[in-house]
Amino acid sequence: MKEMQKLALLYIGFISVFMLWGEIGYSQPAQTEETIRPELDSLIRGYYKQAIAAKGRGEKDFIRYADSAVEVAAGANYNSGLAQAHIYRGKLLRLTGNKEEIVNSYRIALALTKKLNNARDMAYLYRLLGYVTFEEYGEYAIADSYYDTAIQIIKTRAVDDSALLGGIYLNKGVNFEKSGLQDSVFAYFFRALDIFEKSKDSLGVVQATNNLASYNHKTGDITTAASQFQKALKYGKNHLNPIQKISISLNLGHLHTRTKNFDRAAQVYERVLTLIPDIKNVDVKASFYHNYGALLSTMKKFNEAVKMLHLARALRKAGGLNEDLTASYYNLGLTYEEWGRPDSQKYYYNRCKLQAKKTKDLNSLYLANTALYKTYQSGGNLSKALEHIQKANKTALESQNLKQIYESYGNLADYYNNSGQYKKAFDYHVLYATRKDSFLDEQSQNTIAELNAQFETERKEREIELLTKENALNDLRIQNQEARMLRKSRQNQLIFVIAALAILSLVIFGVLYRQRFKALYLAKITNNELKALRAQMNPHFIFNALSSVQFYISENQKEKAGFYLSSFSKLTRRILSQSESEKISLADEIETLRLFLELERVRMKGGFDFEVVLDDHIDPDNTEIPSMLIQPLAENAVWHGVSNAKEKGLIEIRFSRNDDQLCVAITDNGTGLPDNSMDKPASHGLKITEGRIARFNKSAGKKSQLTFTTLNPGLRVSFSIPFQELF
Amino acid sequence: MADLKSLALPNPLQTLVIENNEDCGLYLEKILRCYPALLCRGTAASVQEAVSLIDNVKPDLIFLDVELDDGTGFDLLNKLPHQNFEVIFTTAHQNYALQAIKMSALDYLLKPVDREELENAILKAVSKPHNGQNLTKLLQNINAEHNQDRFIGLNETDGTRFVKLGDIIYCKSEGSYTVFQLIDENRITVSSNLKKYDQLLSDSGFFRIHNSYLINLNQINQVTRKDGGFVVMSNKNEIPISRRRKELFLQKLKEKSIL
Repeated sequence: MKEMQKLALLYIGFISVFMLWGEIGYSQPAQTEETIRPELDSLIRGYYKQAIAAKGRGEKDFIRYADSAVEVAAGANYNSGLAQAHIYRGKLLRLTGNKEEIVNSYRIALALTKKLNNARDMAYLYRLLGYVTFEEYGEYAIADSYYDTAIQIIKTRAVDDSALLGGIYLNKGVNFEKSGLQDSVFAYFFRALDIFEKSKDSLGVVQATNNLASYNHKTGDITTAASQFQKALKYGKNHLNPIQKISISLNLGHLHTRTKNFDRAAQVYERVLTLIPDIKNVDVKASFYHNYGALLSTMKKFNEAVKMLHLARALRKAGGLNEDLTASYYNLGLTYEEWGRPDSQKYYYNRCKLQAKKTKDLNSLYLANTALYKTYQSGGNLSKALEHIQKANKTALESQNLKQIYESYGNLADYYNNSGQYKKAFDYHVLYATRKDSFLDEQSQNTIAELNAQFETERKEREIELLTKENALNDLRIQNQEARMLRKSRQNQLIFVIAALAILSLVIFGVLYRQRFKALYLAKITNNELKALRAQMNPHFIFNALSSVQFYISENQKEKAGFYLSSFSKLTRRILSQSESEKISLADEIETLRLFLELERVRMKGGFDFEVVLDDHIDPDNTEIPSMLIQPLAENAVWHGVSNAKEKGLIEIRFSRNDDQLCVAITDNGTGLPDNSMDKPASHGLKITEGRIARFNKSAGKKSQLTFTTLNPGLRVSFSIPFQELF
Repeated sequence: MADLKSLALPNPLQTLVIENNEDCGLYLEKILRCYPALLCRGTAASVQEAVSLIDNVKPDLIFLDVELDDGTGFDLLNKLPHQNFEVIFTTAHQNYALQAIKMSALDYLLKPVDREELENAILKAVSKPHNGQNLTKLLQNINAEHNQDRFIGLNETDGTRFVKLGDIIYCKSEGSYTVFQLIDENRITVSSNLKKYDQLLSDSGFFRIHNSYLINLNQINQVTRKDGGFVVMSNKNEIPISRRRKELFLQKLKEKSIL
């Protein structure tokens, strides 16, 4: 059901983008004049305020005020009021998280503003829709296209609202944060900052600077982040309300703490201390006390630290901020621990544990139990220590937090080691080691996946950008067509040619950019992953071979099993020794290939013939070739080529020399590529070989790929690499 | 090639299998029953067992594992005063021992054993006069402290000739033959390609300086940069340095001078 709704949203999103361009480009929108009715406007705003007040009192059905506003405006047949009422309703609904209804309201408002031909509000509503799509649905690409539509309207209809435009750029930046595209994030934040600075919109400047600072913080550029936070505070001196000032200060303080500038952090917090009396917001106040306390604790000013932490704890307890309360207890425990007050330490860690249980916060529960384990361990209460480390382990397993799982196994191993139960210690150590491995594995897998995702999103982003630009050019062309009615056609042709050239160059730029990015991306992964990928290739082959041996044994074909096994060992020996060197002689590579094909021939029903053909100009003993390069291609020719051949299978591997290039062609007489696949086959081994060929050619400044030629019957895979002699 | 399975000798070769992997030993023993030319008289897994077994049986042929329970196959040979039997070594991996065996021009089988290779080895053992000299050299090689004191067995038409590595100046490739230039101005031509000796000797102070030359680093008199670079050997012969090998060669020389 949810999927259906999402799909529907997608659909609506794209249709509306399309319709919008239609409106701007092709037709004059209907002009509808409507008298402004101030009394109704203020009535509608009144309902909105009432709703907010009701929400503040904790009334559940505060939306009814928004509904009333909608009824009033509809009853009075007052379209701009109705649109505003729906915008209010959508905003209020945001507090309930009822996403379908939010989108509904915004869409109705959008339809109305279109009818009224109010460009500014249209752009505003596209922005709101983008924001909801981003926040509630997490559909970044769709959100981005909404934002682009909004920007489009602002630009083509000359809407003069820099705050809106800047805001959209900020939204776009935040959107890209989610897809991890650093460059785009910075680009949009800076664009927003530019607009705000030009229009002297101080609050905007502060917002953009703050966003930039946060993102720099997130991506690890702490120094820049700190200076930007400082700038935000400076600009916002007269514009920011105390709460905003405090939250920026908290960020700044946190950065100074991280960079171990404790004194500067303390300065920042001391300044905040003067703002605190005016603050009513318990959450902000408590957060400040909490952070300040943590800093003081790091600075070993335990007396003051405890004071601050207790203030935070008391505020959170009174305000019912249950989740944050857990953190307060934990930090108190930690501070007392460092201070050397074991009783208080124990007490607060225990409170933290109880609180975490109450709020079902598994992460904190794990931390508390681990802290308690260490507390009891150093206090000499071994049975209690064991009890808590076991609980911590259980919690980690329950929450499936891989890092915590291996950590807690490690602690268990330590515990048993210390208490002399070596067998158990060993068992847990084994668990620790395997879990840690799988954690690290997962991490590196994630890195690969991230790199992949990054590449994909960057590509998509480029495509979207190109599309947008292309559309802009289309519009330009259409405008020019209109101009042609007035002027003579020659000039227009020129413009058309320019437009066409522009499109062409954009497309070329896009393609080039993509290639460059891909090359960078490849270089990035080859270094780290090539070895791993290559290692994966061998097991695949090894187990296939072993299965064959198993089959012969089960069929009682002793001779065949024996022959196969010893040939297999020979091949394995060669592969093992060759995989140590990056390059080997062509003679060695051919010998390995022969052995490999010999084995595959035995394995295949009906068998096949193969032939290695060598150009006269090539001395295989004095020609260098990357090791194990051709084997995946030969394997492909066997299992995707001759295994389906109509006649007896034949594989030919030909080496020839073309000036400074060694050309390799693997030909089979199988069925060729499947009809439905226009693209080349995508086996794992093929990809590895392709990547390596690209790498060797790149280092020689050449470009060469695997070329697939369909024959009748069969397939030829060919490539070339720089010709290199050994001696 | 004669079919070994139907080859019967008036006095079959008294054969022993000395093998520390039991399964492997049993397998060999079973396979050997197919060949009437051999008579398997027993198996042993350790040096100690083997010594008494050899004493009792007085074998003609031994399949000898390099790794034994309480030592190596070489330890066993060292303990025997007279080695008047053929030896076919068996080993699971390529290591220093295999290098030594190859250098002594002795037969060996890599495990798991390939039937064809086994038959070839047996044929050689049956048809060849016994290889006591090779075994003696093998033991000398194993025990030699300096690699230039080792011997390499070169198969000539009339038997194996042993040459001390220190007496070789360089080896030159002549098609599929290799010519050994010795310090006494003698030359020996063998019917194996240079690659084989490159692999065999590169750990013993030899370096493939060129596609056609493998030189003894201890026999260099001078290194010249003239004419693309060449080395002058102890017998005044000039040998070109391949462009691609130059860097590696200079590095090798440096390492050697440090040693």
